[in-house]
Amino acid sequence: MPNTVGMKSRREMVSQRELEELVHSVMGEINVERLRQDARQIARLVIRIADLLHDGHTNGTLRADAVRILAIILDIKQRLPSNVSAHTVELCDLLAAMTQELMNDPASVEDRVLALLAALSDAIFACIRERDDSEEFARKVVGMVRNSSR
Amino acid sequence: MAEPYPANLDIVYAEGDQRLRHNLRAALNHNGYKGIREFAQLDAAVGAIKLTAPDIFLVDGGMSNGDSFEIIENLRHHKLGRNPFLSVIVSCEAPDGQTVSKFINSGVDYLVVKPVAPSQLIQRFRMIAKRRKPFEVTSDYIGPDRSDFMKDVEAEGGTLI
Repeated sequence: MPNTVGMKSRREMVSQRELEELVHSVMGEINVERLRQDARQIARLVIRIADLLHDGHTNGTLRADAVRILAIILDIKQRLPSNVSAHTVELCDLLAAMTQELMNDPASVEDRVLALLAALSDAIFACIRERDDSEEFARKVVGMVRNSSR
Repeated sequence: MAEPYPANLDIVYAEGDQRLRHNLRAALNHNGYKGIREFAQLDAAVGAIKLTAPDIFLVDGGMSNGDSFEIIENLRHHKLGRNPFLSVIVSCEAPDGQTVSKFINSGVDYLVVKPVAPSQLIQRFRMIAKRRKPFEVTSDYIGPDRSDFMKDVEAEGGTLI
């Protein structure tokens, strides 16, 4: 991580251009880690929402968790490279739409929908963690979800 | 020829109280910190951060009704300025728990309580130079490692980079 105070104290000369390159490189690393953390947090929140619904809680924490999922999805979409992540973004959109529906009428959510939410959050986690073939995997999951909801 | 350390540190200092600002700058200057750019308005300090890449941002947390939370968060997310890793020190007058929590979760390196002794600040500058905290990444935070504050602040631990 660039620490210009430390660099100056050690008399290391870093040009503006070198600093920008360093910042770009570390921000890339942070971006990857943030995506992982986002995906992990969505999975946690989906599990918590399922538990809350099973216990009959349809307000308060559930609503806050759903809002948080929507905010995290937005963050993921901003951070994913759009040119190579179209299907992963589609997965995120599906999860966002289902979360929004759940927020509108939490009392009538079926177990089948909760299972689908959990599967989607797991799929997003897998796509973000494993970059190889993740787009193909995301495409298949999107297809399966669309078929199951027909 | 470039100034030697610590005169070559570029410090953006935002403080609304003119007397405090002048006194602290004079004391820091006296200790070799010559590169201080002082601002009475937060907007002007932010303008300076956008234009150049300072090493340290020293800001009065009470300026502009607390807009500094958002500014620091935007800095850390690289939505503002050129260097999201610049060191940020916030000074606050008797902050309550909620204010402390908000500043820590916005991404400050250090929070100091007013009145700030120059020696206290210089100690922080030296700590930053010697062992800067690594950056912590969670789904709702990017900034210096908060583990020192964790006993006081409720937040999930993240990955250190």
